[in-house]
Amino acid sequence: MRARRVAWLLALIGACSLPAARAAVKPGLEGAQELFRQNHWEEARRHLRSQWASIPEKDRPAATFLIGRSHVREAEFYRAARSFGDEAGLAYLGELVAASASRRVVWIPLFKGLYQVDAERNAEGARTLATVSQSALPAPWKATARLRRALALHRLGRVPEAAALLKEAGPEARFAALLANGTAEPPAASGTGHREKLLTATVLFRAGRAIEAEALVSGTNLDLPDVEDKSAPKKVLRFHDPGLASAWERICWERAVVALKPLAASGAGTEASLAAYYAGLGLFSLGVPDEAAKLLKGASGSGLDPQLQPSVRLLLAACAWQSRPPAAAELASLWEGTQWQPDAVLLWDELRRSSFAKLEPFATKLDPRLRDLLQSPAQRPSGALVGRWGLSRLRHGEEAAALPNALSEYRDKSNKNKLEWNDPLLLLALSAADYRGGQYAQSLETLFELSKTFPGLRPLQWNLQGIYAARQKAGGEARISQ
Amino acid sequence: MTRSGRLRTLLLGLGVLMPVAVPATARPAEQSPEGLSPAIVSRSLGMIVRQPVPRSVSTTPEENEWNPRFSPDGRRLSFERRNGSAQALFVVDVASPTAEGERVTSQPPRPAASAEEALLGTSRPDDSFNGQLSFYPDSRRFVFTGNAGTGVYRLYEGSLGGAGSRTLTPQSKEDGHPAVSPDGRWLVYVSARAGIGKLFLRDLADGTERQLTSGDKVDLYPAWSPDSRLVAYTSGDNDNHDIFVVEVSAPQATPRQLTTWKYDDLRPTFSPDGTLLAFYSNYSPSGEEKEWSIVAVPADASGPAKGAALAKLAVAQNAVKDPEVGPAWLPWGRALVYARNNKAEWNPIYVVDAETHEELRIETGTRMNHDLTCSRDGLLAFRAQVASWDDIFVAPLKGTP
Repeated sequence: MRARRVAWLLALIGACSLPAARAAVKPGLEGAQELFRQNHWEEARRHLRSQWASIPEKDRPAATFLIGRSHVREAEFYRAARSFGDEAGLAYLGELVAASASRRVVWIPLFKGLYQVDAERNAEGARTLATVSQSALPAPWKATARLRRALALHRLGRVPEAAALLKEAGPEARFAALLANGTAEPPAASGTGHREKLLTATVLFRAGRAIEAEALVSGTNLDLPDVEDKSAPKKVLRFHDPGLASAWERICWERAVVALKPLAASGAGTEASLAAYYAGLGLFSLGVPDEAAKLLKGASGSGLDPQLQPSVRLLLAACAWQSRPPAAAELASLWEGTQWQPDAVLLWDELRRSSFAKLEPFATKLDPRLRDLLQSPAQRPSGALVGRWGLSRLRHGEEAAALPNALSEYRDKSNKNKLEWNDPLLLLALSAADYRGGQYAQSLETLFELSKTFPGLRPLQWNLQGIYAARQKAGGEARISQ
Repeated sequence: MTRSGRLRTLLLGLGVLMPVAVPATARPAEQSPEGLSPAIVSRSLGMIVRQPVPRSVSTTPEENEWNPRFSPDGRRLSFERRNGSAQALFVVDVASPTAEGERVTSQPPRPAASAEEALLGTSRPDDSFNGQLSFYPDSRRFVFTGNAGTGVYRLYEGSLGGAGSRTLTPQSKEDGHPAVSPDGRWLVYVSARAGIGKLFLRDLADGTERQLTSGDKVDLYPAWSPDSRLVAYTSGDNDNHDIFVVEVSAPQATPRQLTTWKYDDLRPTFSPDGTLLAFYSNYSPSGEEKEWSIVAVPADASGPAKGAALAKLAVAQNAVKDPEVGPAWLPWGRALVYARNNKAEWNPIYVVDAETHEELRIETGTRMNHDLTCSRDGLLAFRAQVASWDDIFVAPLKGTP
């Protein structure tokens, strides 16, 4: 009977599978909203900026908010891509070590350590990078290893030891110091390479020098490999520093803060309270909790959407956790007041730290709630929420075979991977789930679609392709042109 | 020989498969010595314009469109379009096809769920499904299938220039394939409200309804006879579908089965004089299972239901199957217009006489033709590809004999 019902429904809706279409963009805010809805965030911003003079005064707060919110969406996307990238990067390096032709390549321990630190596997990262100083790497890369190891040591609580290493003056050192402390003195010179420019830009943004930072970022190619190794005949190995993905994510957050903070300060109104919330979220993500708390308090006190109030409450509390670990009673009360809201539940998961893993709700309550998060929603959840949920499930080892089906329920059936109809976070989660399930071709296909709009995914594609080639004989068929 | 062809030969040899005689190959219209001016024998084909100039009715070149349907007076054309997040219906005036037309949807404007949605405009998109429009005889009112963005498929009623559409079957679910009778008295449609698709008949005057078909098969694609007395439809399961006809005026009337063979028969349509029924069948003289023929049988069930006799009634072979539209009859004579499944030649359009099987190729210059339908004035509407998008075209088929 079920098969018949499916056949019937397909016949009923005509089973039409024509490809998606993009209509001509309307002028002004309306056109930008349309582009935003279609997940073309960069285009939406460009559209607004090119027409700014003709946008009516009454639409400008909404236009400014859209610009800032689009940066937030990008930052969330790149954060998720970075997490997937760390997993794939480490797996690819593992495959290289397993292969006799490449296991002695000197770059492998370095990049393994860089990925471990980026994934906050700090103890392992520190150990791996400690071995690199003895290898035959060029001096600048030895410095990178030393500085990222210092970052890992800082996170492990060995602050004086880390501080001594982080005193250096170059872009790499200042970037590592920024990640460790949330702030750093800008380097005297940015350097000329794209790595140095990108790393310096992150520090300049935090120092309030956004215009200089943007000038450095302009024209940056995020898809370039950091190292090309040709030591093996007929084979070029490419290595990508996850630190650059981290820098790019920070830049997205910084851009959001730059756009939204003045709007938040402009006074009352829906735009101002929403801008305060998202600017606060941005600053929290940049590791500046005190400044974030000020904005979040402002958002909390205004007429913010009830749906966002639980997240504001939770973020405000989390701003204090870096200086003072939460008490059990505080967490219990917070959990009771926020766990009804799916976004807040996902935020709880993102705030999970090993230092308070034994406290509730992290100990036993959060995982069951997360597992059933999409079971009985009052309304159909957004693609972004489903994507975040999928990535959360993957972080916690959800059975990979079941997840693509669960996520596909929310994918636009007639337009499969098209960005216009599917949230980028949902597509990324699908790609990650397919990768976990060994469906490399599908995973790469989805990433390829995303990379048409989002730069910086090539390192992830490259690593996945390497894994595919190593694990499946047909790997070459999915080759992405580099 | 293809694998399926070999299998069929083997089964025939073993006596497992019903032997089906291959009909005489459709006869092309005789060519003149110059090869330019075919001498037409069929009266139906005599007045065909062989090189009509198609006009696009698309105003948005980068959106896909499909499933054109003419109003009974032939002055309006509805079609479906992927429009933003929705699959919307559009109705255009055939006389001024460059106008935007009227957008028809089942989803009323929705207020923003949050202040952020309102600011970003993310609450605005209509993400409903809408399709399968059927006009009333006045060519202004219509019924269509929609889901209002909810996933529950119901019938909706609206009118051109009206204030939106309203649900016609609010208590139901999984409704579709509506067809208003030519006299405007009845609406027949499919509903799977009880589990599988069955036909329901609604009296449009008083709104009363009755179930027209029963049994454990899925009934789909109802089509009216021109006199509004009969409904033809497809009935079957995942393995096989056959063609049936049921009389609507007799409440206890038993459907008559027009085909009984093993082939899949889909989407019947009546000839303008009501004497013939054409449908798609995956019977193919070549034995290739993926090829579809158009078969035309007597609508009064007096013809063969299977075997070689039915196979002889296949009037077109290797036709493009478009079940949403169905085989397209010309408004005069007993001839059909169809697209041949020949991708190397971009699915060329042919007209075939259902009685003589004589056929004629129509040169439209369009590519990947699909979804053919013909107005009462002989205007052909169809879907064709422009760049990578599907647009709706119209082309006059009726010339002087």
